[in-house]
Amino acid sequence: MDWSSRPTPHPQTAARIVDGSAVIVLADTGQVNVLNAVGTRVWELCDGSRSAREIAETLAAEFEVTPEQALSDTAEFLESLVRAQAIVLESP
Amino acid sequence: MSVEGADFNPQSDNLYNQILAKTREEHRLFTAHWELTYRCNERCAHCYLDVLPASARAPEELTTDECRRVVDELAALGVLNLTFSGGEIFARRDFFALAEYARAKRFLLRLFTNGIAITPARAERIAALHPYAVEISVYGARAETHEQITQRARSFALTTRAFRLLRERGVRTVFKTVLMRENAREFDALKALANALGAQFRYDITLTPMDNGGRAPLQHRMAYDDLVRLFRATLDPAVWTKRTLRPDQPTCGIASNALLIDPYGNIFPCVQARVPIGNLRAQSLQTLWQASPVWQELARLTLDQLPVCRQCELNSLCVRCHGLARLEDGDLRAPATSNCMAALARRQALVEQGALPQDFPIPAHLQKQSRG
Repeated sequence: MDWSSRPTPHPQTAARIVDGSAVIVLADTGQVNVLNAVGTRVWELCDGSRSAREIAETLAAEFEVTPEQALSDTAEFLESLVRAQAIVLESP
Repeated sequence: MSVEGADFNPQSDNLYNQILAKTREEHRLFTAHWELTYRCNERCAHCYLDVLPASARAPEELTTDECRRVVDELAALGVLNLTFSGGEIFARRDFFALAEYARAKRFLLRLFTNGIAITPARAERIAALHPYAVEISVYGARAETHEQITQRARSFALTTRAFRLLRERGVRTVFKTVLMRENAREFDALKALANALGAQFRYDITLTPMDNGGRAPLQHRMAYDDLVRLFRATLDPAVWTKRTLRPDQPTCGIASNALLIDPYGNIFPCVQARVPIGNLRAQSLQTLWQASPVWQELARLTLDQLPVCRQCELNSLCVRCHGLARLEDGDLRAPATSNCMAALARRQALVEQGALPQDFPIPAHLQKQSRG
């Protein structure tokens, strides 16, 4: 995980937050994804304006987990989003 | 902190369906169909729009800035699904500016087009939009049939080229056809052509009067015998013989979570039901969506509010459209004649297949047609 990279939505994504859940459609495959509260918060933070590290730090503060746990969970989730082509990691 | 269940899993489909159902139940706007222009480069014989030439001036259309404002309003209200249609969408010179703006706002975009204007360069720009689908209208499996409807020379070659250009660039395409008198016997060939072009095949049997009241499109409707032949080949008896409608059930999703915008900013419930709601130049979308009494009136049109349909023995075989009833028969609550004929044809096909008894009743208001 390059913690200085800036996660940003992949160009194929369409998305809305509905009742606190992110609804993300991968337009190229037609796959629909609905995220839970934490996933939705990560998605909101993936707007290209902050680094992966800053996202992990924000989550640690908001969800009251240790920095280590936040880094681990954030890395795992961001990597799953990258694999699914829901986000891209832009170089700083 | 846990993202459990948040990775991309099969549960999402169920969750998405629950969200969709909730938007319908709570009258939350989620889908918009936007006719960007009535200018068109074809002259389809069955078209319900009073279209203008593609090169015509159309000063009453929403300007680019007005369209962007509407896109902003749609996003603010939570709309995800956005369809751009026409006329022909590429008749608007600012089409890509609008589509790119909408995609930057993360709408799921569908494009309806005849494909004629899709060049390699435009196909590249379409692919870069990542639309959910480009839906292209085709009216014949042969150039002669297609161009008899479109009344435009070389349209078949140009339209089929569009499928190839988009497919080469990974864009999902839908091959849409309206079955009518001229092409009903090409049904299998149309399906095969869609398959050969790598497109999903979708067909409709609905032809409506023009929005200006003109009835010329109706002369292209499939003959009753062709309808029966189609249903014999396509109906799944297990589905249709089990289908039931509750009296308190709406017969379509009208006025629940979707609306139509025309090129001049007028809002309607849907393409068929042009019941005026208001105009976006005069009022905000939020006001029109939340304050107009029309939505509630239409949402209350359940089966038990339809005096003839609620008693009709064929209502479980009918795909009723309130808008068509209004357009064709002058009353939202009346039976729509063409829906009735389709239900009658389904009945006949299912009787012939042995899925319904020979004496399955024919309602009084259709006795004459069934003999005719």
